[in-house]
Amino acid sequence: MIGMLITELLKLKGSLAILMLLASPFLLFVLAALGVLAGDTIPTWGDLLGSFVSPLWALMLLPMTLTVLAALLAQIEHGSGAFTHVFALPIHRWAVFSTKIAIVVGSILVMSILGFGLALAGGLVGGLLRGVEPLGKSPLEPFSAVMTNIGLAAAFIAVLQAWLALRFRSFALSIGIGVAGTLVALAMAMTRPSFTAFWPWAFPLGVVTSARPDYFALLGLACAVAAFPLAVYDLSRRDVVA
Amino acid sequence: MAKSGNWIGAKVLGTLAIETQGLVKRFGRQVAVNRLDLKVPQQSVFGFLGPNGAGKSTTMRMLLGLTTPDEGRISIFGRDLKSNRIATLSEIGATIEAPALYDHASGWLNVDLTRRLRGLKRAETDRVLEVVGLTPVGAKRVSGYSMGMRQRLALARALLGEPKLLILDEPTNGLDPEGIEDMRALLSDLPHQTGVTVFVSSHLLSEVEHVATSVGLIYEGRLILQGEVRSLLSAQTRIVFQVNNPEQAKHIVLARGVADVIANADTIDMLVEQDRSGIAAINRALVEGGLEVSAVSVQLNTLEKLYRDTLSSCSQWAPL
Repeated sequence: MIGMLITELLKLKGSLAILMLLASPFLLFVLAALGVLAGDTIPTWGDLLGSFVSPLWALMLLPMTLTVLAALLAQIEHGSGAFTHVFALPIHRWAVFSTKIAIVVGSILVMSILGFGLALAGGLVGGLLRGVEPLGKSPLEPFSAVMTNIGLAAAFIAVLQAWLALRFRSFALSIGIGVAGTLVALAMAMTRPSFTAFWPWAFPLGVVTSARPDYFALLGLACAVAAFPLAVYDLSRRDVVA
Repeated sequence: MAKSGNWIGAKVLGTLAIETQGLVKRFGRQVAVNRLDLKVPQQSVFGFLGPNGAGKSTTMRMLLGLTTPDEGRISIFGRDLKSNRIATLSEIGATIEAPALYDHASGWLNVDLTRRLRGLKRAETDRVLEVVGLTPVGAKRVSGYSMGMRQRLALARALLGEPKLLILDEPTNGLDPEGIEDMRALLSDLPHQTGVTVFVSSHLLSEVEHVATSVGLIYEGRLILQGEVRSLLSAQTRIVFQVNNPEQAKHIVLARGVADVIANADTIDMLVEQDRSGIAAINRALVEGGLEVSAVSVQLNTLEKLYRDTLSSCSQWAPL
């Protein structure tokens, strides 16, 4: 299984998926820096990371990145018809699909760690350029807790998007559903926040908008754990088409 | 029921490399493969022929466990594929349809990824690239490869781990004449050098005729002919005698038990075993019958003619 994970990661070498993995956290750097530079007043760390960077990460950046990343990862196989080759090898299909879904879920960890570091760096760089530093106490502990909870809440999105992207050859379908899911989550946040617990793409947003961030983190994680074997079973039992 | 040539190779070696029994695959109401009974002798180069849409790719996909048959069973080296998929596939190297390669990766990495998935030693990657002559361009991205280079790279992947069975779908597609010659030589030599069985599909009949020791012809999902190339072709050889009285010659030959005799303006031709003593005996009978035989020629059959004749004889078949 470790060998397969390394092999699947090696496939990403030189692909757009790696770029995607780095680009999204880098946007947090840009947002945090702009948050300090563009404001009329000097923001606190709490305002900058808790009220500005985290919601954008939870509502748009992370779900959209997972959508695109899952599509890119699946297209590496679909685009070249490589599943035909891979499944003619003496390996179990469930192992291949499990690894691929695990990589999409695992990308949340990588992006969260990078995003955490880059958002802090962005705040500091913005402060350096403006000649001030964001106010308030150290953001490390609360921001790491928020990023962790957002990541856990997004695990279900990662499994769903990977499932869709691997299931259907057309990347338009999985990306379309991911974009629609995110837009509905946005509308839901503005009109019916209480519904966020019923819409997977809104789970991460629930972490930053509700009074029960742990609930949404656990909800996302539990749904992901339940969906993972279903996705692997569904993908493995199908005939391999070109 | 398919016409068959003899299976001396299979009898000598015992277990067949591939054997299918009553294989059926349907897509909705369409029957793509219809009660296919395939027998591929070990260490043969088996040419799998048929027009587009005949069911070749579907059959090859079923042989690799990519598509599940609706009926029938597949046995590879005597092992049931369904219940021994992993063990069976570990003895097979394959390329199906267009070479499925990762364009963003180098040629070397493409092969090495498969090598890793098969759990083979790192040196295998270099070995197979050497075999197909791609070592000098191994570091280049596959997106810059020509079609011929892609075919060779796909073959390199199939050769990883020295498989006992190679399943190749149109391996000469996109190759230049030199590449085709190289591929032909490689496919012909492999069974002798490594004991591998090669199962190759192609629409280029002359290509298959050059390399195949056995063939199977599939049409509308049915296997309509299979056997050793040599016996199938010799069974169809026509001998032409130029004589002064074709009608009288025809009677003489018919009296000797040769069934398929045609009298033309100044010749008779007949379907006989390509056997020197048989031809000489007919010649003697004609001369002893008072006829003048001015020329004897052997019209060697080709796979293409056999293919066309067999297809035309069964084109009226109704589907299952």
